[in-house]
Amino acid sequence: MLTPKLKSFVNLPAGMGLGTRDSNLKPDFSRVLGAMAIDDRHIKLFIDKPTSQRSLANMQDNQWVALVIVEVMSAESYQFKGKFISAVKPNEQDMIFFDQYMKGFDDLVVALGLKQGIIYAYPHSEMICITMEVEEIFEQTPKKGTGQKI
Amino acid sequence: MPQITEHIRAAMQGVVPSMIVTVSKEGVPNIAYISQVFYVDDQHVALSHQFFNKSIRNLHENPYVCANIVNPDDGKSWKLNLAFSHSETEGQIFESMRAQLEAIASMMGMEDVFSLKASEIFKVASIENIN
Repeated sequence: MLTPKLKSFVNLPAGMGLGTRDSNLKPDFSRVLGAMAIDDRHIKLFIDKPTSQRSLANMQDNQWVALVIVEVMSAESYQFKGKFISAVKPNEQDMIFFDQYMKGFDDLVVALGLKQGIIYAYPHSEMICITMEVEEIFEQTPKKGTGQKI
Repeated sequence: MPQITEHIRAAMQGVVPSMIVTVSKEGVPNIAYISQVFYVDDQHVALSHQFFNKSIRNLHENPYVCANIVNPDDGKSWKLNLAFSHSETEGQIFESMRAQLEAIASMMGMEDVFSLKASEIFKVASIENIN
């Protein structure tokens, strides 16, 4: 499912977002601040717990999750759809990865011409690690015919 | 009644791409990056219909959309909870969006890729300040 190329892509300091939905089929969004491929089918991702309460409740309720990742320089993008597995407090190694993501993404947005430190304006006081099982992957790089399942 | 303030409008310049979440009638969420969340008036926005075919299919089945926008000056961000109203393929909103999209495409070197198929018009149901 997750090829070596896709695993490397997931681990990049890239733009990321998480989509969930409630029992009335109303969508919710949470900003993802870092993700790592655990194995061929699972991704661990970082969200801010206080500002993601609705997404967390949605995932516990129906397990559906959709993760989008875009490499901001090339616009290469993939969507990973699947099921919520767990939400746990990050350990020390997770926080090292999270800090590296924040620094790496900050460097990227500066290279794009935005102000340094913009990424740190996003709430990140209490991170939580979500593990998802990937069931489907779609390419979403801007081009004609994009959106195909891979 | 939610109102789009000047500070929120600054997050709609297309400098930082937005993300939108839609849901199919079967309950499967879909998330996509889009170039543009376009200000229509204090209570309406338009999304550019370029590639996001699954998102378009979803909103014709289920009108709810959650969009994230980011102010490029200070990183402040908002969630816009939207309800689909209608599509436009001509007129002032469509032409303004097309011009803005062309500018974004030029900035990204994607003039041959970005093409506006329709302006999808939404009523803003609520606005959440994330920061």
